[in-house]
Amino acid sequence: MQNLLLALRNIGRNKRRSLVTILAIAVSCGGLALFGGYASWMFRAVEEQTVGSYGHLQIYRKDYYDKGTGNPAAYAIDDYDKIKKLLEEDPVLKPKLDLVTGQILFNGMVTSAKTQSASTFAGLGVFPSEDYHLTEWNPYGITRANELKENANYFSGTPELADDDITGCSVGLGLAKVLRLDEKPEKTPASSPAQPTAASDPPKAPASDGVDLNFLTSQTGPKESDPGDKQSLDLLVSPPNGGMPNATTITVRKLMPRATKEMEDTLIKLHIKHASELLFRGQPLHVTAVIVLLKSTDDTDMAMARVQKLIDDHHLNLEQKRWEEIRPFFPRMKRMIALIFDFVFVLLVVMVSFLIYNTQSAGIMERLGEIGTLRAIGVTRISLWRLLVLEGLMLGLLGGLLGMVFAILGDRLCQVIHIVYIPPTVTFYAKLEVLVLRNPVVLLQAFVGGLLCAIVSSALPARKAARMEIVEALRHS
Amino acid sequence: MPLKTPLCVLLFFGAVFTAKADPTAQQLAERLDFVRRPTQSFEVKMTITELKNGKPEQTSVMRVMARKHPASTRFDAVALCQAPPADQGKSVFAGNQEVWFFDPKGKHPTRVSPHHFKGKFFVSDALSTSFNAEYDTELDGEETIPDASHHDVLCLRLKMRKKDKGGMTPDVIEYWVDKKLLQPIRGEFFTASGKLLRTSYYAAYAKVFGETRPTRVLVVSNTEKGVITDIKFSDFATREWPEAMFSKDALEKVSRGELP
Amino acid sequence: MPENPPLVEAEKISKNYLLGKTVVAAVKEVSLSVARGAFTVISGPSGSGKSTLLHVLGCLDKATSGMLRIAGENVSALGDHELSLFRARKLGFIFQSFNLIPVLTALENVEYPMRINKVPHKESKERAREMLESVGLSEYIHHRPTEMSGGQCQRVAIGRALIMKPDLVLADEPTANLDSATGELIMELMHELKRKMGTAFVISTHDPMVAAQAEQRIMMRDGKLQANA
Repeated sequence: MQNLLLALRNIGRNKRRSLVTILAIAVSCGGLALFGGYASWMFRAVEEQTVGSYGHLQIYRKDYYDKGTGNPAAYAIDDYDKIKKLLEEDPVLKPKLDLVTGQILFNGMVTSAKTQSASTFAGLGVFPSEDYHLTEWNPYGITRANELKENANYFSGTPELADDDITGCSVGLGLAKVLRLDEKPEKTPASSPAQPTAASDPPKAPASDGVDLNFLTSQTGPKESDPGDKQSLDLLVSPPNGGMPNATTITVRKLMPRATKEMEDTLIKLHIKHASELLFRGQPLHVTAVIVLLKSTDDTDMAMARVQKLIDDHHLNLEQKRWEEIRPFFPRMKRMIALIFDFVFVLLVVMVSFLIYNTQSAGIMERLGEIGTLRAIGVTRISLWRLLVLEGLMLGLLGGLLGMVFAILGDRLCQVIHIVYIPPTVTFYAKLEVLVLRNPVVLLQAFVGGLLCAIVSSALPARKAARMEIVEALRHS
Repeated sequence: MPLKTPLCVLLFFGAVFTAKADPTAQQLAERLDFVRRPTQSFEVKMTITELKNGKPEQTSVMRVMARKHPASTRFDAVALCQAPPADQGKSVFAGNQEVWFFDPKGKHPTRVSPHHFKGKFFVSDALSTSFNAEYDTELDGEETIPDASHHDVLCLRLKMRKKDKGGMTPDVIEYWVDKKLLQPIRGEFFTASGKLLRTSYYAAYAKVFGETRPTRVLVVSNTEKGVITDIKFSDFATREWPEAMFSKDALEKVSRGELP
Repeated sequence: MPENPPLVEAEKISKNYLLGKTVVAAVKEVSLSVARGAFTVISGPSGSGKSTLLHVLGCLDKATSGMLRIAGENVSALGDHELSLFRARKLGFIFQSFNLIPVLTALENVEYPMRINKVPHKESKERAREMLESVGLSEYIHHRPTEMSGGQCQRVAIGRALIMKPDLVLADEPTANLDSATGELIMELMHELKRKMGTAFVISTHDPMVAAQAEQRIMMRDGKLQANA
């Protein structure tokens, strides 16, 4: 295309102006691509942590989602083994499955045996090694960034509980604070029997109907061999089937950060067998949710459809939810970011359009004589228009390409610089990345946007030039 | 406000005996039951002082009214707080395995959940609990222990384990009973896992309703250092109460002082 | 002389302009004809309408009224698009300021009309080369206008004007920006090519040297024809 060369040469006429225009386009396109890359990274971080906590799908007894949140244990599934087998052996699901596990979610009151601080809690009974596997789900390498020294407190690389640890539990950091699990028990001044009593206390029993208050006070507090010295927690729950509350005592093994602040403030994780026994004393193992973890998040739609088919075909009294629904904040956040992205996109398009319009107008005004000449020697209006728009297109193209280069450089820079911070709604540190290269859609959108905007905004001055009277144009030679 | 109040009537009625020679564990448990639960409705005044390191911190006065069910040995109880002024008028109803609390500043009585009773003061749905029926009792030999006035007493030791775990009453109780007088000297209350929650020391034995009983109980906390709850019983009287008074709906009237 | 229909036939051509709110009659009912291969000069004082007449004859501007026929084509009836095509095929232009495309080389400038007419690239390149040779600029084929003198530029312009072998070339003050010596050379070149290709020339000029070479003289005054010799 000879016209292409002509267009390029024309752009090169006023190098400074063209360069400024190209740079402005580049910065806009590149910036947009970087923002999109950042958003992609953030979504992935949240996806990783959400799926790592809840799995891709959760299957409950029917009506659990609407009615069960106040008392989850009341909507428990009692044939967990059967359902697990059904899912694992289904030929369509099998190749896509990573893990099927069960959990019991319940609530009650917890008291620290040592400090007597009490709180409500949310209990999660899990199969420890399966639960660990779930939380280790890390396809994007963002949130389980074990190697980050900032996360050193959180990740030891070992499961929270052992499979045979029936009486152990791990407690969310916020809850641990409420229960004052880090505190030493109070020391009272005149409590040890070995201490001589102060002068103010008469050697005889104080006047109190013959009762020796000093002696009795010395008997307060835990005895040395008291098992309450350990980090014990007393749990009290209401059994779903009604009746008197059930109580149990468990021992704290670990304090853990969690995916959300709410979880950190309320969650106690313990062995599912203990939880089931606590709630359904004497009955076989119950679960409140069957959790399905897939190998890839892309399979979620397919898996959900398949599970629904299985539920319908076997007339199971079950319902299911996918991970975005369990954590409704996530799609909302996604929409908000998309909105911001679109807004910024429109803003940039407008700005770049003005700029190109300006550049092209100026360029055309300077060349009216030449334009008149072209028309004189027989170039049609439409050909002339195309030529001028091609110039604008070239600006957009060059700017867009340069913008892509900026974005890729930005991506690389982030890799190298190693910025570490906590992405929104996630509770671990992660290394900041802008996933420009891994998310070509955003790159493409920025690039094409730049091009379209260049075409449209150079079309107007081109049209004006093409419609001009030849003689009028020639006057400017 | 010590919500625990009507329920600590258990203490009052705990382990009181008439003199009997060498009873067996079973007989002791039976005797405990018999003596804990009088055969008639009554009322009593409780003065509760909370001590910290030997010094009184707060004193409350409760008037407790208990009504025995005609056909069984069950009692329902209603307690009205008379002091301190901040808590005056608050009332509690305990019965049917439920506990309801009413504050005259509110409009409706609220059901109290078990967690309110954990910790500082022990829990018991006293009057309906039968040691004999609900606990397996065994005699665990003799031991000399100090009583509330720091004098040594030779006691029979009873170990009582709850038959059905769970609920509000302690899972395990150890009782020391004066071998000669068959009066309760000390009781220790444990959780199922063996954790000692509190110790009760009995004192001020006097003749009440035809029996010699302790009229003072000092509850020593084994979870918090220096905390003792001192409960004194006085102003005993037998009364016939109307059934209507013993329900959560009657609490409002009780709080207003409209008592028969 | 064989009876040839005139190349250009103009009948009562008028051209009016709107200047603010006033209507200015630049050309008033001019009728003329130009024979094939003729060398015609339009002269007159400034404001006489000679440039305007030239523009109308060159189909750069449409007459307000009257009829214009060029090479048998009733150009008055053509639309803008057809006029463009007509100009590309049948006409050539030479301007006072040479009007070369500054970003194109001499060769590319001469090639341009052939591109418009969709002449295949190899052919157009060859023809352009030959043309530049015949105007004596074979050394300068890759030079840009900024790298050439006025006279050289005008020669390139002539080459461009004649490359499609048009029937008619219109020149507006072709020597005005050249010194007299160069101007003479330019005129010589024009005559030479005219002889070779049989192209008619219509030239609007102040330059008496140019006017003296006319076979046909058209005098304009106040938009009207004065004499037609």
